[in-house]
Amino acid sequence: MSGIRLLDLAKPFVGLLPEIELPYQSADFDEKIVYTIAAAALYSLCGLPLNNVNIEKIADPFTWLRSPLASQSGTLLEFGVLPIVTAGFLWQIIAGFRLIKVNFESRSDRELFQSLQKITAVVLALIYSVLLCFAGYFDSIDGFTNDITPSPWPKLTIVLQLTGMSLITSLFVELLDKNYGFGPGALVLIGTSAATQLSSSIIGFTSEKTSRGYESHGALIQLIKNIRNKPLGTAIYDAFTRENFGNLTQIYIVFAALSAVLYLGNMRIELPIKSAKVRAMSSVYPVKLLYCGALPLLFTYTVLYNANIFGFCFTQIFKDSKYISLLGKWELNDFSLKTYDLTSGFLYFISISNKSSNVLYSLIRPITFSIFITLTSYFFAKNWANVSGSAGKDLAKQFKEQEIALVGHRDVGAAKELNKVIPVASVTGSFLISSIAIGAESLGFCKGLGAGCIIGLMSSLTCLETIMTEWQQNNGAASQFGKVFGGQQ
Amino acid sequence: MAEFEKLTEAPVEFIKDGSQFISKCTKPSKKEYLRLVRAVGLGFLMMGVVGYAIKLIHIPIRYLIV
Repeated sequence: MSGIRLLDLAKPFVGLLPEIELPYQSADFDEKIVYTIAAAALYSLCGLPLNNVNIEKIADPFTWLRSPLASQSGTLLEFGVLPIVTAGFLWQIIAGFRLIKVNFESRSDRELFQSLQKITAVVLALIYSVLLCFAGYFDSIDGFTNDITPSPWPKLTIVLQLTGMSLITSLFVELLDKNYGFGPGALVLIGTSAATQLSSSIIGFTSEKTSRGYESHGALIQLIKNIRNKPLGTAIYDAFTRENFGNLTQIYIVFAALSAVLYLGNMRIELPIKSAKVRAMSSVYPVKLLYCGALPLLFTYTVLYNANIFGFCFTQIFKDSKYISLLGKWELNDFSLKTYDLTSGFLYFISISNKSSNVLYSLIRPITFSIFITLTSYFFAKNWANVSGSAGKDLAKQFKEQEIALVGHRDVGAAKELNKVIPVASVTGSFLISSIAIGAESLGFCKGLGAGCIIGLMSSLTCLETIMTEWQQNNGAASQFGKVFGGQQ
Repeated sequence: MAEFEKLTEAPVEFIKDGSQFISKCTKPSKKEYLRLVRAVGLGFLMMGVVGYAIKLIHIPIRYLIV
């Protein structure tokens, strides 16, 4: 009998990894808010440059993938929440398709499953960082010479820093997930980072030296600066079209996309429910159009990010092989020396890079990119409800436990009715969300700002929902935060 | 041929289901929506400003450690 379960393989490592213990008593509302803000703030404070890496001289192939996964190039947050999100999706899907047996009712199984995710996240970070080191990602690009004497010591420290940081990040996420704070932890971090990026590309007054002199990060600040220095027409035109940092066109597109998302996010079908015990109690159970929230799009970007990391490393390591260029071809942007751009190969067709020597390629690319994003989100949305335990069947079970019934349906009918609504909602929602993201990305060449902000906003909405539920259940108005903010409502 | 029909049928069905669902949805009223946009926009921007302020702390730290 093949008695060993895959889950048990995690057992020897459980003791090695630091783990956050469940709180003795559930923290009260104020404490949770403080924990959440603190975790998010500490996470963004971790964006410090890596030791042994010259942050100003490395070129970044993944610019357009960074903001959806809260990562920053050349810093400790080089991977952001990517390893954690990847590991989470991976194991959730494996468990959902019954490839490993996890009994989510049993506490020890759940804990093992969590540790397994954590181990995978750390191992993934290790793999990424080793690969990127070998690919020469962390080497400075001077424009004159690429050859720096290969010494293993700096590389080793880089790997150690990145792996350690991903362990710390996964602890942040665990802290929030284990009811010390609000919301799915990874989503909180993504939300904060997206918000930070958006506001820094609007009002960021720090400036950086580019090929066109010093430019501010924020588009609005740059506009004001331009108006003072240049003739009015040029000033405004420049603020709308500059390329190095976010420009006003992109900001407007992002705003349009975000308001569309917000509108869709508030669309729902209200199923009438009534309590089985108390006769007079009747209410509605909303099934949202965006049933999976940002997850389908986040999943797609996770897949893309992974594909690009592996693709980039393999193309750099096996430069001499003939077939590797079919996978993707990165060319250093000669102008700024700050980015690598995809120019051809398979990965080019599922990217937003519009730099190609081949005209035909650049005509096909937007189409293939849209198809890829839509299809991936579609399949994810189609299966996620079953995988994550939020399908109609599971909901019906919850209803039964809480003694709620759908009006006009019996127990069995409830599951059927929910199953009729939920898959349509999640698939349609994911389709709409991915279309908006595609639109924003291809109209403005936002370099990921569009998709990042959409995912960030949706994530914050998800977190906000948990906060609101908690607020209502635990009488949040009585807490300190309630007293401060309650007056405004 | 039958397979081909199945293939073309899937998107059509999907669009039909989807648009039916959307037309059945409860949509936010204009007033509700504007309130939502204001609240969420303000919250999101506030989060961003705080995040940006934290990012500003990085500048002196970078000078110190590099």
